[in-house]
Amino acid sequence: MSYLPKVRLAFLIGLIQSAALTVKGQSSDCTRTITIVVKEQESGQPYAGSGFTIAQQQGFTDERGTAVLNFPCTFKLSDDAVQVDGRVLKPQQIYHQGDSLFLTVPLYKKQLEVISVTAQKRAVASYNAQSSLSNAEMLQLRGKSLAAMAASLAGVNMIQTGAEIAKPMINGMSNNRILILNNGVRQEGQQWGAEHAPEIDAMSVAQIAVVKGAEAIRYGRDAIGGVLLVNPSALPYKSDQPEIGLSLVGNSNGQKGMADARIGSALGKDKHWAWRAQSSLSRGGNYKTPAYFLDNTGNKSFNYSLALGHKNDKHTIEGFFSSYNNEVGIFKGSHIGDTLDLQSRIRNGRPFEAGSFYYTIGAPRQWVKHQLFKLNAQFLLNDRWTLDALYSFQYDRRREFDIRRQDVSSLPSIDLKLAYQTFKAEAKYKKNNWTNILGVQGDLYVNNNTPDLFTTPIIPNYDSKALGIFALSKLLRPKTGWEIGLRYDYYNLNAAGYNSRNEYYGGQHTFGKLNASIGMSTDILDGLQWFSNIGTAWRPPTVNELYSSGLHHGAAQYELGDSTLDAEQSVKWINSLKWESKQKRLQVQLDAYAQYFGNYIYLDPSLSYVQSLRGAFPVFNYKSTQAFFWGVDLHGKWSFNDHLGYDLKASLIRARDISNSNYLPFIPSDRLSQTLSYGTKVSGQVSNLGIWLRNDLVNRQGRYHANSDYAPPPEAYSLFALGLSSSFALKGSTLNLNLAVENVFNTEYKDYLNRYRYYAHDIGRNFSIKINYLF
Amino acid sequence: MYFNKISKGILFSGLLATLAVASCKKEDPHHNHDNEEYDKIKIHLISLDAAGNQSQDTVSIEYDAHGDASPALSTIQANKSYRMLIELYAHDELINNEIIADAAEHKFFFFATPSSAISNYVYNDDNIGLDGKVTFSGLGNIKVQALLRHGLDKSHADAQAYNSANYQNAGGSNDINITLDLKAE
Repeated sequence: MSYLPKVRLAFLIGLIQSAALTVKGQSSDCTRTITIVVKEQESGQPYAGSGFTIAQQQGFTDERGTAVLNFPCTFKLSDDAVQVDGRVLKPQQIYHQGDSLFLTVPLYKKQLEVISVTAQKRAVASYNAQSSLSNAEMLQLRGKSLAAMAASLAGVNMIQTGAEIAKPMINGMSNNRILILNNGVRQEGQQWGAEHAPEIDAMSVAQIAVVKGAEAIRYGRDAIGGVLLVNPSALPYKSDQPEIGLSLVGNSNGQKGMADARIGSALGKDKHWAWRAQSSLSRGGNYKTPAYFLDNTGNKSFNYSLALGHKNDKHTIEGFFSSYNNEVGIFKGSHIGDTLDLQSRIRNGRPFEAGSFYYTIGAPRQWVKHQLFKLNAQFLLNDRWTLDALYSFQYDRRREFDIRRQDVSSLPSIDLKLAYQTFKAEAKYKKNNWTNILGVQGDLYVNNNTPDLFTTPIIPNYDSKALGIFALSKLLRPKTGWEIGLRYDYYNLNAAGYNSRNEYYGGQHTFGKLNASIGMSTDILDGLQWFSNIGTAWRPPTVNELYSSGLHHGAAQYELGDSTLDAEQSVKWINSLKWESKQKRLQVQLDAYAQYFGNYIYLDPSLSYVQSLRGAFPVFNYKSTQAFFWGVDLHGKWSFNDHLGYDLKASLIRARDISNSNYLPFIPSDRLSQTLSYGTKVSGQVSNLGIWLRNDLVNRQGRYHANSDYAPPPEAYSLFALGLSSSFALKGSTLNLNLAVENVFNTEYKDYLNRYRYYAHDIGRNFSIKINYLF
Repeated sequence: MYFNKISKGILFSGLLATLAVASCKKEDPHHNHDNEEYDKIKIHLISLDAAGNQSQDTVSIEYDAHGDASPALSTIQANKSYRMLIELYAHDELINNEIIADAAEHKFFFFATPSSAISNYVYNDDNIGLDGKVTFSGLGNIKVQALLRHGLDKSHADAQAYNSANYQNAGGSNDINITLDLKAE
C-alpha cells in the first residue's frame, strides 16, 4: 500500500472501471460495494465520525473510521468529488487497496474541525471512550426514539416511561447528569423530569455518538456521565445534484406510521451555498403487551427543520432552525389515586382495565413544542488560527394534561415555558504537534409557569445565568497523544414561587466551580490502542431538587426539595482498550471506568406518609450522599469470513451509596446483546442482502435497597429479534429496505428502568418495515 | 480584513448579549388558586324510622384537607338505618354537582370493619353514593372506609356491590379515601 499522488485518480477510476468490467453484460443498475476508510494523514489513526461526500453520496464514518457505500459500476470520480467534513480532498490524499478507498485528512485541519463548536460532525476528539453508530445501524434503528437508538451502543441504556417516553442513560447517569449535544448545541428542555424525553426529532438524525467520560471542560456543567452527540447530515456543499431522501417506517405494534422527507442542494455559481429542508411526521395508537393493550399510549408528532450555509476556504457560516411538536398519551393504568391504588396495581402486576386499540390521545397526556435556532461560524484565519462562534436560541413549551375536575379538564396541570440562549466562542491555535484552545461560553435561562391553571406549579419560576471559561491543550504524536484541560464555571439561579399553602419560596443560588481533566492515548502494540482520561465534572442542583414541595401525581409520592443542597461534583476515570486484528476480522473495545461523587443528589424515601382526603402518600426527600460507580462496557465484532459476522455488546455497572452503605436505585442491571449476521451480494441491483438474529439478555437487578422503591426489580429476561436488510440500486438511486421482528416470541417481561413496570408489562412482538430511498 | 470583521462581530455580539441578559428575567410568580383537591368533606347520617322517614336525629362528621375527622368518634344507634349524605367541598364551595355530572365514572364503595357492621347499603342516586341508605347492625366500634373511585367501568361485575372486595378490577383510581370512626350504642 502506498501513496500514488500522480496517478491516484487513474487508479481510482481503474478501481471503479475494473468493477464495471467484472459485471460486463449486466444492466446499468449494477453496483459495487466500496469500504471508505478515513484516516489521519500524520498518525494513520482512524478518523471516527467524520462526515464525507463522494460523488453526491454522503455518509459518516464509524468509530473505526470506516463506512460502506454502494456505487454504480459505471461510476467515475471527478476531481473535486471527495470531501471530508466539507473539505475537498487533494488527489494525494486519496488512495485505494482492493475494494477499500482510503481518504487521509491533514492533522491540522482535523484538529481545527474536531473540537469545533460549529462542526460537530464527528465524535469529540478527546481521549475519552467513545463509540458511534454506523450508517447501516442507523438505517436499522430508524423509527425508534433517540434514546432507543443510542441504547444500542454498549454502556448506553434508556430510562423509560412507557414505549414512547425514553431518556438516554450513559454508564448509569441520566437527566441532568448527561449532556445531549444536538447539532452542536446543548439541548435544553425540562430534562430534570424522569418522564421528560429529549425534544429531538429522531428521524432527522444522521449520526449518533457517545462520549462516556466526564466532558466538563468542553461543555461545562452537567457533562458528568458523558455526552450524547446527535447530528443531521452535513449540508450538500459542492453537490452537482439535489439531495432528495424519503424514509418510511411502519410498526405493527401501535400500528404506527412514520415518514421523513428531505430536500437540499448546493447553490450559486461556485456552489459555496447549500440548503436543506426536512420534515417528519408520525402517528401511533395504543401499544400492546403480549396479552393486553395499554390504554392511552398513542402518540403523534410533526417536526421540521431548515438549514442554510455558506462555505469556502476561509469560513463556514451556517444557520439552522428546527421545530419539534409532539403529543403523547400517558398510560391510563399508571394514573394513581393514592398509595392504596398503587399497591393494589403492583400486586395485580397488570392493569385492571381491559385495554383496546385506538389512536385517540386523552388525558393524561403530554404536549411538547421545542424550537431551536442556531447560527454558527468558523473562520480559518490561517493555517494556525481558527475562530469558532455559535449563538443558539431554544424555546421549549411543555404542557401536561391530567385527569382533572370537570370545569378545568381542558386546562393543562403543568404549562412550562423555557427560553434558553447560549453563546460560545473558541479560538484555536495550532503549532507543530500542539493544538491550544481557549473558549468562553455564556448561557441564559428563563423558565416560567403559565399562571392560573388552578394547580400549584411543581417547580418555581426561575432565571439563571452561566459563564464558563476554558482552555485545552493537546499534543499529538504519531503513536501517543496527550490532552490537558481546565475550566472555570459560574452559575447563578434565581427562583421564586408559591407552594400549595400559598407561601412564597425561592431565592438566589450561586456556584463557582473549577474543573480539570487530563487524557492520553498510546499505541501499545500493533492494532492495540489505550485511551485514558481522568476528569472532574459538576452540576448545580436542579430546581425540583431544591424546591419540590408537593404531590407528584404521576409517581403518587410527596416530594420535598432541599434549598440548601450544594452542587454535585464528581471525578471519573475511564480507560479504553481498542484492538483490531491485522485482517480486521476481529475488533474489540473494552471500556472500564470508576466515578466518585462527593455530593450525589438522590430521592430518599423518608418512610413517612402524608395524609389527605385522597389517601396516604409516601414522602421522599432530596438528599445528597457520597457515591461510587464503576463498570465495564465491552463491544466486540468478529467477521468469520466475508459473509458471516458476530457482534457482542455487554455492560456492567455497580453503584454504591457510600455514606449509607446502600445501593443506589435505578441503576441498569447487567446486559448482554449478541447479533449473528449473514450478508451477501445477490446481483448488480441487489447488494448487501443481509439477515441478522439478535438476542438481548437482561439480568435481574439484584443490587437493590428494599425501601427505595415501591416494587422489587423485575425478573431477568431474554428477547430475540430477527431482521432482513437489503440495498437496491435503482437507476442512480439507492433503496434501503429493512424488515424486522422484535420480541419474536412475544415474551412477557418488565424492565427495571421502565417506570410503567409497576403497572404493566413491556410491549410485545413488533413487525417493522423501514424504507429509505435516496434519489 | 477578517480581523476587522471579527472585531465588529464581537462588538455586535457583545451588544446583543447585554440586551439579552437585561431582558432575561423570570416573571413574578402568582398566588395559586388550587382547585385540584377536595379540601373538606361533610358526612351526614340522618336517622330513619322503620317506614324510612327521616328524623331530626342527625350525626355530622367533617373532614379537613388532611383527612382528619371532627369529631374523631361519632355515636350512632345500633341496628338502625341512616340516610348517608356526602358533601364534597373545594374552597368552601359544594362541588357535588361535578360528580353528579360525571356519574358514569364515579362511584363510592363502603367497607365496614367488622364487615358485619353494615348489613346493607342502597344507592339513592345514580349509583354514585353521595346519597344512600346504610343499615348498621351490632354494637360497638365500627370503622367505615368510604372510597370514591373515578374512571371505573360501572357496568363491570366487580363494580356492582357497594362493598365489592375486587372493585379494582373495574379500573379507575381513588379520588377519596377516608374512614368514619363510629360507635354503635
